[in-house]
Amino acid sequence: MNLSLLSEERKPAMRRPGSLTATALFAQRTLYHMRNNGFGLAIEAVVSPIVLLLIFTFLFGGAIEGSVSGYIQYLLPGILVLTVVPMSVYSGTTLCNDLAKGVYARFRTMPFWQPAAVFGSVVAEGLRYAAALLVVLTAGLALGFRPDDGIAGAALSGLYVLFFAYGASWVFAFIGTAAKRPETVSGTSMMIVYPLLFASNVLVDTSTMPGWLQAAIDANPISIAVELTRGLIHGTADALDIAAGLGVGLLPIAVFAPWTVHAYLTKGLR
Amino acid sequence: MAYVIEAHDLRKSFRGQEAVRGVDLAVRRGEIFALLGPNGAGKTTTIRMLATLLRPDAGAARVCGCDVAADADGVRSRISVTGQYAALDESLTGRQNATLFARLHGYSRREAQAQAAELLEAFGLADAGGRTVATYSGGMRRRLDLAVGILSRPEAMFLDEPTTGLDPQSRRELWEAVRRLAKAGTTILLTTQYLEEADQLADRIGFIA
Repeated sequence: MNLSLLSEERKPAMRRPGSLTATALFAQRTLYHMRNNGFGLAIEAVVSPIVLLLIFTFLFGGAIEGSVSGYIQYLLPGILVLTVVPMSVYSGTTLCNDLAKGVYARFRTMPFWQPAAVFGSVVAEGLRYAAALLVVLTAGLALGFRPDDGIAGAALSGLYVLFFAYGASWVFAFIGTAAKRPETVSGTSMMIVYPLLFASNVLVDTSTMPGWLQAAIDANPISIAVELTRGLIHGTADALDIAAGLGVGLLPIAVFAPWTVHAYLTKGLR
Repeated sequence: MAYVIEAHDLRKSFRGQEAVRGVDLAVRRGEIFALLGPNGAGKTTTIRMLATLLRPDAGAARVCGCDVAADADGVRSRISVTGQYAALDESLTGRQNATLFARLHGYSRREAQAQAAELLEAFGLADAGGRTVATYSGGMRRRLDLAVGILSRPEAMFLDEPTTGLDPQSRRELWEAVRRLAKAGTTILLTTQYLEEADQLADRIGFIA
């Protein structure tokens, strides 16, 4: 083994990376993860959203709306949310994985801005969301979905769903810092995600429900997000929809982002 | 600076159980110091306190001239730690790991790539550099772990049971790497459960029980 590179005169310049650089490096790390696991990414961001869209469009389309092309106008904005929210659970499994393995100890003993490890991975996850959103929109257009508000509306609603997923990802990131094992993270998170997703207005219009049920379903944050997504894509959103929709995205960020970073930084230090 | 690693009466309890009961040690520059003891003796806890990963309940320690409680960042910029399990990202390749950690230490992109290439070569991992660490053998992981550990040119390295679970051949290779690091001036504090390892490798041995 040749260790000539350890001699003093070969010591290269090191400059402590700034907070932005460190965050970008952790984002890049997440991109490497995606690239090294291209198959998983393809299944998750391409195949499974299309399968979901096909199932709901054709299975439910006839039964609920009487026609496939009629139902998809209602369904597609909801499928955008239904696809992306479960993907945001990953931010929690990644964090929990780091905390469970020795790599956390190495990160912690390096003098960079520590929250970068949390922010970087959460930020880069957005690329997966965006890819899945594009896939669903494209597949929807092929199946006869026509956004009433054109490209602008579709782009706006896509951006909104991205924002909402970021909000949701902080909830799971927090679960990731609290759980002992990554399996617990996905289990716990799915237990929260699926009841919320299906007890919502993603698949069915709430106006035919009895009053108490409608009130409950409409108060579901997923319903509020889907309501705004629909409004943006079809150009019918009013100020109240926008305020409520932004609120359900901002609230989890405001509550869980600081909490997550704090939990990450103090883990095991007691 | 007389000693690179100094600890005085370090103590730590978990839920009322005393894990470390007053450790004193002093390690000189370029020395290999082995902390020898059975499982559960508090070796890992001692290392974690010295490496600023755990706060001591009592006692004081200075590493590379910095107080572990008051100047954790100062300690962190001068040391490197490897745990019982390799501190690597298993989903990244060996090269991606080395480059990422080099960048986090503040090397420029080009310098980071050069460093990664050189270290992989020096530790016999050049051919495996494009494979994810998940596919590495135990010995390869430990070597990559060491390689990544010296990226920052640490003054002191903490190795927690660096050869546990390795076959005899990998163990000898790792010993050789550690000796060379010490010869190049790096101070090394390692823990081990094996008297033979402490005997072979260390300049001085401390018992903990």
